[in-house]
Amino acid sequence: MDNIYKKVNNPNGEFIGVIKNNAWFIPIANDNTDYQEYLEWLSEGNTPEEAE
Amino acid sequence: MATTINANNTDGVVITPDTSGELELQANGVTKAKVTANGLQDANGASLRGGMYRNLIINGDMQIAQRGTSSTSSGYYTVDRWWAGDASASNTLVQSQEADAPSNQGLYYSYKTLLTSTSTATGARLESVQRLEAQFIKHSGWNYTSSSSYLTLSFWVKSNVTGTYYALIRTEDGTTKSINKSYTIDAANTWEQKIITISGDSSLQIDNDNGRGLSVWIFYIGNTDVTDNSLSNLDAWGTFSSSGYTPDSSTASTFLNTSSAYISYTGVQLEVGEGASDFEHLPYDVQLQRCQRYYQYVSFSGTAANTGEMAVAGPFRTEMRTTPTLSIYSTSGTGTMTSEFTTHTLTRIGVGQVTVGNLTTFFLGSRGLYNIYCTGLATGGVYVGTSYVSAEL
Repeated sequence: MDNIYKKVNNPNGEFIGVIKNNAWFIPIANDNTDYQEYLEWLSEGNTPEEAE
Repeated sequence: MATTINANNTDGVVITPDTSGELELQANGVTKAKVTANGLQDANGASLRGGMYRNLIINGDMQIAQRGTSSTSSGYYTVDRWWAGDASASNTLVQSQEADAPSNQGLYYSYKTLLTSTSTATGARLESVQRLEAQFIKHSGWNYTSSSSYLTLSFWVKSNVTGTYYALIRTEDGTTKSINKSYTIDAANTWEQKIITISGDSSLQIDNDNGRGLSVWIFYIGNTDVTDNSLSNLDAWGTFSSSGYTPDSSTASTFLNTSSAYISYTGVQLEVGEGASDFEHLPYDVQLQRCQRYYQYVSFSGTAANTGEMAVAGPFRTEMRTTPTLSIYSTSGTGTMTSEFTTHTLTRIGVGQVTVGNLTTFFLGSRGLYNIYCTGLATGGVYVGTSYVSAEL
């Protein structure tokens, strides 16, 4: 299954993480391997859905 | 031979010297312990090294399975800290915790990988790996840049496919290095203990941080895209290549083409030194806490201040490796919370201080504090819920 990422912003509109496959909230944390996987997904040319 | 010191009922003590450089301690002529170049050993040559937490593998006896006991998915889904993979052979793997272990070892559970359909894809592979935190290796006492400093990997294994398998150990910092060591399963469906020793190498780099430091594959089989018979990493450290995790293996081909092939492991121990000591048994609560550094449930409860809001907060059960990933209820509205014996369906959930739904959560780093913020609830209602967080490697 292809992964789907959606950006999450805080009330100030600041990017704070992504939701993966409607099931996981992944924070911006360089040591977090899910975040590392997201960055790799981005580097492959993929684009996340925008935050609401 | 060895110099012997024999305490017997006739002479008291009898010393019989030789020039081997080794010593045996005897009681009435029966050897009870040895001192060799490898250190203090029992009569069978097993190391008598002690020390708490000498096992660098977490949950090596497979007793903790917070996520569940059986799954058909690849990844972290059953036994804690163990990652199972079935690349290019999707939906063919069942990983599970089994109440099956070698007798008389004080072990009860094992970690089983079962193949449910075969695959001839050239990139097909099955694997079981535990990734170890770099700082735990850095501070283990292993002088990893020295060829005369050792790690010993020991484990019990059982399979219905006999033959040669490879364990793979890989460093993760700097230039990725790996070493393969073969082991043979001699008898089908029979628990066998295998012991593998590796030395350090001047080319290895292990950082003093919370990232991946060492990955330990106790099981890796693959078809030709991921194996390489010209591999230089067999029995020696070499630069890792993703096109050659291990040498080619007829056992791998047999395994991948045998429906219902399985392999089970337990009593996995990685320790500093040459020679395996007895498996280090840890109490359930200690083992659980070690696993919770990487995965844990968070529970929360609170009272809705009004129809719109409830906020709860608390620390993690133990400090996590890093700021974790949070499992969330479905944003499409399938999540539920219970309130005073009434189930409330959440219609929408957001996370990270975002008011886009009924549940908002944020985390302050790896120690907690987590905060869950809900809207659309009954005033005065007491709400409880659980979620889980993951900081796996």
